[in-house]
Amino acid sequence: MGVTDAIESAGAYTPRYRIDADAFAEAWGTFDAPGVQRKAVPGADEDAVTMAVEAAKTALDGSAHDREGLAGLAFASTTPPVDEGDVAATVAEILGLDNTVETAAFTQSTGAGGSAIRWGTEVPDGPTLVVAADAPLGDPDDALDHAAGAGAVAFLLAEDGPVEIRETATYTEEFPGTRFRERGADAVDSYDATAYERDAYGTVVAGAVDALDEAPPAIAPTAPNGKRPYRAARRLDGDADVYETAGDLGDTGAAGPLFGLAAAWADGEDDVALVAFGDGASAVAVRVVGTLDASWDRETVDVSYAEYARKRGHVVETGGDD
Amino acid sequence: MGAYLSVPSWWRNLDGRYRLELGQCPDCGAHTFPAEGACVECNSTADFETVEPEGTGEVVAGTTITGGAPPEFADLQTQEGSFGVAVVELDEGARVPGMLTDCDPTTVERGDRVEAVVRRIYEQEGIVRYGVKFRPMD
Ligand SMILES: [Zn+2]
Repeated sequence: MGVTDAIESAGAYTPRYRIDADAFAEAWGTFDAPGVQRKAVPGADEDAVTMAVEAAKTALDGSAHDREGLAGLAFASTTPPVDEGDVAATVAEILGLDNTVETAAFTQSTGAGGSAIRWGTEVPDGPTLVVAADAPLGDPDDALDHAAGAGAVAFLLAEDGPVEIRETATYTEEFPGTRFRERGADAVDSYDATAYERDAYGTVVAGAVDALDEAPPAIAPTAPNGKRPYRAARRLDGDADVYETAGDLGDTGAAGPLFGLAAAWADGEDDVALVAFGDGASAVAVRVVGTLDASWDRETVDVSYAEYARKRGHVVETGGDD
Repeated sequence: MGAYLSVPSWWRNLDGRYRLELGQCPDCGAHTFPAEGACVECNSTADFETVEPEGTGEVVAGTTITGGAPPEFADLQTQEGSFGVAVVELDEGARVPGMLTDCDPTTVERGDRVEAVVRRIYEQEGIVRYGVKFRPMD
């Protein structure tokens, strides 16, 4: 393992707005995201960059390192504001990091957070912020959009800290046509064969976890909805507890497994495999031992479907109340 | 708000836009925003010491924009409805104009505590301009 294989501090952020599955179903006629009761909705002036900054500031506040002392910044998201351009540099500048900081952006996969953690432990020569932030978007009539939530989680990796990154393992196997986003498109898409998608997810998540030397008592996998992680866990040897936040926050994309880990910590787990799964497909399993606090409590406000659709930039006629 | 600002001009003051960097007057100690020109307190033109504020302060004046915003804010208005703009007196003393976010702007009053957060201000020519807005504190 690398020089910074401990997590010293963490920060999590969710937007202020929420929509209930019921409110969504009432206005839209159906709600197709299994296991999602409620989800976070980003404001129109938020994106992966602004959410990343919020989570990163909290992680920095909890660290003994000051921002000038950071050697690296990794940014992970499936929804960077541009297809090309170093978005991590924008995050670094907003945070006021030193110009000598090494940056990297990991995108194109909901597993990007796992790759960012791997990079953070191995590449920069000192304390490194790893931040995953996401706000997936689908077509309004698509289950992917019904599930889509928003949020960000940041970990400050350092030489020492209360959480030790003990081991990582990977699994890669092609499953074409599972979740993807076409070049230039805003909305994520999939071929839409549920059994095939479940099989891709289950095979790859279990493949990465099984490749760890020691079976973890708990897993925090990427959660495209609030059901799939539990279904996949049945394929694992042993009886791992499953942590996900899709039920409350919706699909937080690349931030999902990091939110799952924070939820596991909040529940007292201290030996967890974060499993960053990305369709296509590949997964990085990161076994971490220890706990930290990373709460995303804040005052929230419920929005109607019409408000939701406007905030997300969907042009739809709902006829619902406003 | 409202006047076209080229990207190079915008870029020149990123520390101010992203972190509200203030100029502290070497003569009287007052803080000026942005950190350029003469001291707002004593008009001294001596070089400022740049300092970063906590980002917290109090609303001293505000208004709600319900229509007729400059074109770069048209999308925001469509998506979020009316939005607030305010003058905030930072705890360090400098007065800073800014947009309000994460609130119903009609409920924000003079004296309310707010904190700086970075949001998308607008997008123009394909480039997102990020900058500080103010959010009421819980
Ligand atoms: Zn002065």
